[in-house]
Amino acid sequence: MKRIAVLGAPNTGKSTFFNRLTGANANIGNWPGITVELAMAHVQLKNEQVEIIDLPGIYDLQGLSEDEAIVRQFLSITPLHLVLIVINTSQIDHQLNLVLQVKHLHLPTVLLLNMADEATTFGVSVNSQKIARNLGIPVVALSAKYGQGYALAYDTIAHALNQQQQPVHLGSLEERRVAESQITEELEGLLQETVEFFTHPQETWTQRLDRVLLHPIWGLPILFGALFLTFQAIYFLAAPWQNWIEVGLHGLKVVVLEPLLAGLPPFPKSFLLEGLYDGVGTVIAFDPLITLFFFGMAVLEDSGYLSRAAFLTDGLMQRLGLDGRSFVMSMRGFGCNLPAVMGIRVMQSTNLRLLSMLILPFSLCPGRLNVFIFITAALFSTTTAPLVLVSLYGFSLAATVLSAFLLKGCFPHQESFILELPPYRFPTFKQVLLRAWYEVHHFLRWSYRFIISGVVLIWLLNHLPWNAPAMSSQTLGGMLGQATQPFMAPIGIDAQLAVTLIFGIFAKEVILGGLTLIYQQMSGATDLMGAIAGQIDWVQAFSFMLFTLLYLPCLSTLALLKSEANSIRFVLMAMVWSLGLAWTSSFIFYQSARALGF
Amino acid sequence: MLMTNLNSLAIGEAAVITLLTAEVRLQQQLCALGFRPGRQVSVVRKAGFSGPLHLRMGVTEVMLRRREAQQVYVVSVEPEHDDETDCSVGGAEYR
Ligand SMILES: Nc1nc2c(ncn2[C@@H]2O[C@H](COP(=O)(O)OP(=O)(O)OP(=O)(O)O)[C@@H](O)[C@H]2O)c(=O)[nH]1
Ligand SMILES: [Mg+2]
Repeated sequence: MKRIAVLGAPNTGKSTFFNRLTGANANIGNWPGITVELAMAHVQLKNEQVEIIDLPGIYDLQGLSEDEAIVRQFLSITPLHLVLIVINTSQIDHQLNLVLQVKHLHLPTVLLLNMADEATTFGVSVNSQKIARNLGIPVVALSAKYGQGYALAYDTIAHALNQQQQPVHLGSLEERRVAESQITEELEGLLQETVEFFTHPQETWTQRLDRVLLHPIWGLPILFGALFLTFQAIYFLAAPWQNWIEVGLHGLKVVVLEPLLAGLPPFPKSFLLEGLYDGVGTVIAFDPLITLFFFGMAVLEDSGYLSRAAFLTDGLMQRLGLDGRSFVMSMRGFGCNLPAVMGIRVMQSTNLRLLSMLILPFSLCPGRLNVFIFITAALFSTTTAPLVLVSLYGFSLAATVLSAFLLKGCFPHQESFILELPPYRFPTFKQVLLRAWYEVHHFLRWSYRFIISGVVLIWLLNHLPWNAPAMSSQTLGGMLGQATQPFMAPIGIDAQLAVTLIFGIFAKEVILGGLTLIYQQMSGATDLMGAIAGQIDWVQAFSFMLFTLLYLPCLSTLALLKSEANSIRFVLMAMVWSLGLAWTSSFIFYQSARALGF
Repeated sequence: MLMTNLNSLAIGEAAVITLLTAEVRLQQQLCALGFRPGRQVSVVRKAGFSGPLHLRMGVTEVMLRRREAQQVYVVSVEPEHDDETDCSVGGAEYR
């Protein structure tokens, strides 16, 4: 099979083009460094079956960061039939540098001048025929996002591929390297001949918007205000859906499942209904919230505001031994910790990466949010519940800041930080929809595996051995829970809650399922919320939430930390740190609240 | 005209880059984003809490920390004055 690689600077639309060409669903976002791993897809191009590889963006073939090394490695060992270089036409004045470097590798190449739509607006006019003649490769101007010029690009690529029967195997890039001064000279000549820049007097709307959003005084309050409002909006929009799902699931249980299973002996019946159905049902009810979260994330990532957030917070983050990118990744962590941890790869200094990896898992992800919404709804009034949630976001932030502040001394580094501030963009409706759908689908598929097994396990533990009274301290779960009490009693977490926490390591949603089935059984079904309120008071509940927030990230995140840091010791240290922080915070909170008489 | 570093430019001021004194890695990053001797650059704004500078070079906008900006040497130009030797994309655009 023939093989094509998509190469170019970060944020030039490589993944957008890749998706259009292959129908794949690679992540797209207006932030340099969205793609950090090679993505591959197979596609039928005219009459040939082709493998296409979307590469992380690189500025320079000689670059020193990790993703640049990955791309270099890829180019030197992979036999290729064609390389597509994607550049942002507006920035042709410096992106041609990479094009010229690749030209000297003597690979079969097609140059795509992407974002042609923006180039017109920004007053950059490129004579693509002249460039093609000059470089001796096909050149096509297009807009990968909106589709202009795509048909021509497609034909050009198919034609070029057709010409190339044998793959080119580069071996060492070093041997083909050309002096930087020669490249610069070629670049200047090429620009002179082929590109015209028209300066235009009016401000673009990006400039106008930046004047407000990057305001020296209002910039930061706007950032936090916008985050707050977004969360509120998501929460508000998801609530009715959640309600409908709960009602629907309950109805289904009463009308269909209970009569259907009426003949079963109590043990399997209770397992299926109170264990599996209710446990998983509670988690399902939160799916609209998760979906909306992914929607919000897709819009945010594509808007270009992430770079602005990095700009606004860099000064403060520098004092914590981090930089603006760490803040942005923490923000992305509120959507899911996994892509956030992956996004750290664009940093070059190992110490900066490690410190960022330590603090990222404190970002309150939707998995944890589910648990908190559930508990606050049970134990707090409708007016205080939202405030409690906000305070948990506050604690999430505080844990991040405190950890960075205390640990920065262990991770000294000298990383410089330069970031492009791209124009604001708005994703197309289709983009957001596809992206959110894909994320939700992906998330649900693997998370439910954990959730179902976690819920089943918790239920079994609370019912085995057979002769012990269910949920009692003689069951396996009871014994396990009792064993935790020397540590957990001082922070107000009882044996049953402790068991859910143990399984919550798989995925935080398991805690939710576990809580449901434990309290469901205690109350003899019906009034779940009442049952919870009867068992624990608000001080215990808050201590439990604080602990849940901080104690450990989910298993997938831990596994990712391990592979990214490439060190078991680091992961163990991260676990000890977060467990310690969680216990201490809950201890201080619980004991002082009790001492104050609550 | 006096040579100063990028960090000492005032907001709204434009200048032409004359020399980069950064170490290799930083130099590469700067070049990749278009910082080359002869290019015109203007300071759009500076972030609070001694945060980074917001710079504009032609159509490209970047943020650069103050410490790194000190390693980019420039000579100021009048914003209206269009230098013919570089690709003269910047400058005139800002006000
Ligand atoms: N106006 C416009 N925007 C585009 C075009 N192509 C891509 N974009 C936008 O540019 C941004 C970057 O797109 P990506 O496809 O993620 O870029 P990438 O090159 O894969 O970026 P990295 O993975 O970070 O290297 C997104 O906001 C896209 O929606 C285009 O032709 N016109
Ligand atoms: Mg990409």
